Amino acid sequence: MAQRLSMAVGSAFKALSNPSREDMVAALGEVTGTLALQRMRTRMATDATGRRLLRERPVINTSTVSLSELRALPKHTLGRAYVSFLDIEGVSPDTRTPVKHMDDTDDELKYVMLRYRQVHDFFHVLTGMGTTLEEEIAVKWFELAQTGLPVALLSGVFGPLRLNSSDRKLLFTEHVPWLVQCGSSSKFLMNVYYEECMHLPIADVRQQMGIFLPPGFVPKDALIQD
Amino acid sequence: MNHRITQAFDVCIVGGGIVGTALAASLSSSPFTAHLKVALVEAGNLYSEPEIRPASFSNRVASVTPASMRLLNRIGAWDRIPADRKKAYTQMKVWDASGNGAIAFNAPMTHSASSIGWIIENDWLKSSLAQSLSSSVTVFNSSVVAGIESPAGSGSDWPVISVNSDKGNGPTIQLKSRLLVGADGVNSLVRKYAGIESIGWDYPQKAVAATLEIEGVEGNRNDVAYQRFLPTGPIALLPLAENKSSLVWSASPAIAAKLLSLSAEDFAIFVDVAFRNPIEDLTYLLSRIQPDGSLPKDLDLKAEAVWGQTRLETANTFKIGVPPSNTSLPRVVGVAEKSRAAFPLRFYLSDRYVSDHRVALVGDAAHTVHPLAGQGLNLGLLDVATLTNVIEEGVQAGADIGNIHTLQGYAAERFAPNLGMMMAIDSIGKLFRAESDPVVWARSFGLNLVNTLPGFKNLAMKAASTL
Ligand SMILES: Cc1cc2nc3c(=O)[nH]c(=O)nc-3n(C[C@H](O)[C@H](O)[C@H](O)COP(=O)(O)OP(=O)(O)OC[C@H]3O[C@@H](n4cnc5c(N)ncnc54)[C@H](O)[C@@H]3O)c2cc1C
Repeated sequence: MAQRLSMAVGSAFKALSNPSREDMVAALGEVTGTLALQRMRTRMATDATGRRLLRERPVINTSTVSLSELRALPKHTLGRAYVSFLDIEGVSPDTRTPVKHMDDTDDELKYVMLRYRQVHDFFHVLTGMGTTLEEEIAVKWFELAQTGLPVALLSGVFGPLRLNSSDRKLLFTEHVPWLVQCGSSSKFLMNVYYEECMHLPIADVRQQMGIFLPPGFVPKDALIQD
Repeated sequence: MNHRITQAFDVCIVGGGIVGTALAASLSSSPFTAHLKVALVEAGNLYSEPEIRPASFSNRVASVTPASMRLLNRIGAWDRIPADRKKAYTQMKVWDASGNGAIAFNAPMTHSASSIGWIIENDWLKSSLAQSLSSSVTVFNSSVVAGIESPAGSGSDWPVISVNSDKGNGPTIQLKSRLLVGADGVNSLVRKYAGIESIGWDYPQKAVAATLEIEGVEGNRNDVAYQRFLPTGPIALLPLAENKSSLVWSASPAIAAKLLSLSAEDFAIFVDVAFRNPIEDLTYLLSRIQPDGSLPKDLDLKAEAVWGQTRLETANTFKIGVPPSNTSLPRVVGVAEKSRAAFPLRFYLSDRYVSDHRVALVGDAAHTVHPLAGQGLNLGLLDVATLTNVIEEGVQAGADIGNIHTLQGYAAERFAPNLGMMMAIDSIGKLFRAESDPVVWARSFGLNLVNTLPGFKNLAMKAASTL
């Protein structure tokens, strides 16, 4: 326990001083978030789709999802928006750190953590946010409202310290109020079977999930070229 | 009123429920009080036939403690209940669905009794008591007490009780009695006559009772009672016979209505889920019951239940909701036809048990509690034992048994213990309905602590069963 605690504290400091240490952010999430994870699991277990996910445990990676098929989808679809996000950011679903610091006994909880990591990219896609530092922090606030994971709180609170003052102003006057409201009023995004929604128009998915965009805001998917 | 007959009694008992009938039988069987003229007035049918078919059980049952058993034995009622209609249980397993507290009680730890208690149908209790009444008791069956008056200026202060006999078709009879006992249940008319205040509330819960068919009982004897505390209220499984158990499931009126609307098959699965699955399974599955009691086509209830039961073991870091170790719960395989019914749950407390109107209250008329600890009837039978003693002593001392000074002895002995038990039952109910983390941790800690300290457990057991 003491060892886990010092690992949590250590990774908190490292994550703050160096945002590229993704493995450290991940470790932080795992050891601090068990209770919040339990709560996420409970919300999944009380929803029809969430239960199906827990039972089937689908994994999003390049062997289960064909990126080239997604690239061939019409540009207004969720799948196309997702793959274009991956392409622009130069990331792949495979680059997400596997879950390794958690107790071995509860495979389902490990799966919830893994799924949470994997659907993180969909949080960006659905909110239309890129991955600049201030967008990343804004999405953390959305996640915090959705999941209550402490790592989201830490990044949401401490992350902005590293922004310059005009970015910080934009973050707190525009992005954060919208995304916090959006995150708490929309449906729980862990209860979505994204694999089955790829071909759907992203506008429909947003509407179904209760995600609204502020007036004048241009989501990243609106910039996709044919 | 064309026919007005007046009869005088030493004791008039209004209400021939189990408690009122037990008092009449107790007085008529005691050598010190057998000479007293006793009237017993019951609105319903005191002599209704209890169920005798071996595999059939009424849904109204009570857990009878060793202390109550001793009273029934002394009255002569105990042996009138056939052996296969009083099911002894020797273990009680209690656990928390949203924490990891669990506790197991065993009979040998309690006094000398070999059973924690017996599960007996209310109808059998009542009929065995009715058969034990001797000729000193005059029964006014199917007769309603319509009013009670204190006669003004007649020189006597004995209450006058108007009885509409024979379902209102017979004459109105007037009874005068030295002592008037209210055994007329939660809405007691006698209590109102005596000007005794009753305070309390209806719980936002109903109890769904049913007779269940079960399989795979622990040790093949079905002698374990189970109770799991769900955040919506406790659910209890009480043994009746080798493969039959009685269910008492307390839940919100909305959930109770849903449970009653389900098909028998689905209902059996829901009971299993309530005992065996993580709490979120029950929440989820209840949310899918349609207004007409059906389940959506896309929902495979059986599969969801089975999958969830494996999750209780494998997907449960903190062992939340797991029964005490070495428990193998019986499986519910059926519900007896028409045995499902919902009952209101209440907490009512009379501020006095006796008054100078020559009145004493017993049973639910004096105190009504939540059935979660199976104590309501047992408290009533303890009232009967004490009131009998007080009347016996009064008779021996040549005192007026209707006088408040005589009756005070009864109130003094019963009021405080009943109140203590009532408050304990109510706070247990509240405690387990709470879902905030600190409360759940504290009660898990408390239950587990009690479970590991034999002294503690003995004490709790004594308080619960042999008070
Ligand atoms: C679901 C459920 C489960 C329970 N389980 C248990 C258990 O396991 N163990 C336990 O100890 N207790 C249990 N109880 C409580 C127990 O059933 C009651 O405490 C007990 O039955 C009360 O008996 P009583 O004779 O005092 O009152 P009642 O049973 O209410 O009897 C009152 C009688 O008075 C008659 N009456 C009323 N007014 C008049 C009138 N004006 N004129 C003539 N007659 C009148 C009625 O017809 C009735 O027969 C349970 C209760 C419920 C609801």
